Amino acid sequence: MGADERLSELRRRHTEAEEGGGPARVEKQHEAGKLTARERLHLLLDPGSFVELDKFKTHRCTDFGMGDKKIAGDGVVTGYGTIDGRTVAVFSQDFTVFGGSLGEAFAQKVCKVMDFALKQGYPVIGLNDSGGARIQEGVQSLAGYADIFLRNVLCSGVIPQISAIMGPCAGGAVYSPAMTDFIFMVEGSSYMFITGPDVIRTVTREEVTMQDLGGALTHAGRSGVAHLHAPSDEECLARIREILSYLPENNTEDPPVVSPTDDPERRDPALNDIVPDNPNKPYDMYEVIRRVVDDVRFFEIQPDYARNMIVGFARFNGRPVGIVANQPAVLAGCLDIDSSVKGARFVRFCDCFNIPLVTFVDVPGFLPGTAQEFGGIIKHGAKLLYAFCEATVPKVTVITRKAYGGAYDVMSSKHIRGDINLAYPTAEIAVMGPEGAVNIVFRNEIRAAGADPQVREGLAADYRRMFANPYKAAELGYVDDVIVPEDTRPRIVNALEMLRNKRDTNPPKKHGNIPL
Amino acid sequence: MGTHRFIIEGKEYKVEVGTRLGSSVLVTVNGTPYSVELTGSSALPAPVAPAVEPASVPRAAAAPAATRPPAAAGGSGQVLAPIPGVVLNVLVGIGDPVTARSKLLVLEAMKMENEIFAGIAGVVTAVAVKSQQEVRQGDLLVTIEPS
Repeated sequence: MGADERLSELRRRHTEAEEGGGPARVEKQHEAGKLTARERLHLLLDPGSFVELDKFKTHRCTDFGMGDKKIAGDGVVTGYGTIDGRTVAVFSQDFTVFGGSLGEAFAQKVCKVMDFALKQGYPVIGLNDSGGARIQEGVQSLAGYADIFLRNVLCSGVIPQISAIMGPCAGGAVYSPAMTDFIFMVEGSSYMFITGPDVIRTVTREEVTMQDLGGALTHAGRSGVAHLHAPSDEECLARIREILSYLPENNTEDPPVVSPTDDPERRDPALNDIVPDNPNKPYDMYEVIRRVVDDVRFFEIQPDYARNMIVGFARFNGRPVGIVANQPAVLAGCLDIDSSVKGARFVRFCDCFNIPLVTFVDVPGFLPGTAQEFGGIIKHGAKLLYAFCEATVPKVTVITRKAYGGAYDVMSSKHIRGDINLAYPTAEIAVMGPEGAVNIVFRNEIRAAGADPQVREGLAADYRRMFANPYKAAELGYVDDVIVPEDTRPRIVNALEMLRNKRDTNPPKKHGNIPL
Repeated sequence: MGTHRFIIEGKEYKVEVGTRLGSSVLVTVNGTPYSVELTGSSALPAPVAPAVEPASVPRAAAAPAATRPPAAAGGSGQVLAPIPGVVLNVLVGIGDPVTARSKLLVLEAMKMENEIFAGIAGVVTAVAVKSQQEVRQGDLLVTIEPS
């Protein structure tokens, strides 16, 4: 065989691998509104940066006539490339090859890039589009999943792991994305569930469609499984590129700094009247966030889930931060099960990856009710408390209005290692609201006054004057300063700058025992 | 077609499912009869199909406990109370056109005047609450016919 022949043989094999399941299946993929595995990587990564590994790998299965059905690559495209010039490991499941089903060789390819990513310390991005286990390979397929699950856990907290669900992802396969840091879903074409509509119909006799059960909108709004959703593959991949711009490559690095384009000293007088005079009137916490962060840019996580809590990424003077905020315009901004879990997971992510936390507080307390108590608000609320206590990244807190009761403690208070805690003059930092407090403190006086509402109202007004303000807490040093709201941005920028060299640790331990 | 016992949030419901007549079946919950229309499962062959989807039974069973309109499961045009509270004022009436951002009513809860928005565009076809009415989480507030 001459050199020419050898090269043409190589070219033939490359072409064959790149064709995946062949033109007919590729066309079907496009008809379903989906891009192919390679088209997706092309959009995700910087042009020309993709380096493929294991392009010629095939399975070793001979059962059920699989011996003569081999396709180079075995249903997953793996390798590495760059996003904004920084290296990431990628795997992209190819639905056109054996329905993207996972067998031994497939799993080995995924594990190889995950091991690379872990050892070298760069993020791993998985694009999921798979029919599930390759049944012909039997228990080897299960072993393959487990090998990936283990690596997800070993990578957790060391490198950012991002999953996109861009087609089916069902059964045990969901647990790999479930253990990654962020799940993106494409509307209409993706779904995730443990058991599908057919099994559900048989077992519980419920009728539910694939999309209602496990579509992007269900998981983004109802279950909270998905962190973001996008209308198309293209949009989804663009959002993944965007989120990476806030994340470091691994847990030993700081998040990437961009050259600032927004004045760090920018004051915003509109903030002075953003909090209404009447404490019972809601306002939109997004407004506060957008007015203080760089260039009005806020990359929100889980925007449709537990909307009484806002979490997401932004920058102050070019440096990424994680924002955690109560939203008084939804459910009065109270903490409940869903918002606590949403907040806790985000705080822990930021702490893993050295992303400072900026917390905006307007919280009336925990949501009362049997549904919350029976649902375990005690243990779920404890997750948020645990996460804030545990976090050693710089923590800056701004109390805009209510900070009542246990919820005050939870929301990155001074007592749980908040570094710089600021309050607006509108802040009400107290053990409970005036109406409730006077009922307890002045129980006898109120009883003596009988039905006279004026006595109670008078006492409540006294209490409000005395305690529903930031100054009691300021006198005790629980807030470091009471600030003019228009100074919020310069004060946060200044605090973060001061905290840049912060060093703090937790006692040596194998790991803590967060109340799960 | 049988008697079932359900325990929902600690309360026991005795549910008797009667014979199916066309698409409707008589379901008796703790002695109160309800005529239940079958939708989803009626397409299935009758002998195999459960007379009533169990998913719908608890909803019917919960009705006797509540004198107010039952908590709707959340059709896109049904605006439900996101939090227990008191309706302060209703800002729309039947026949009013609304957009997704239209304010429908103000619900006081957790000492906050929570603004309840339409969420979808359409026309208000029913207002299930009035001012000063107490509502529980999940209660139907307003029905909107999507446009």
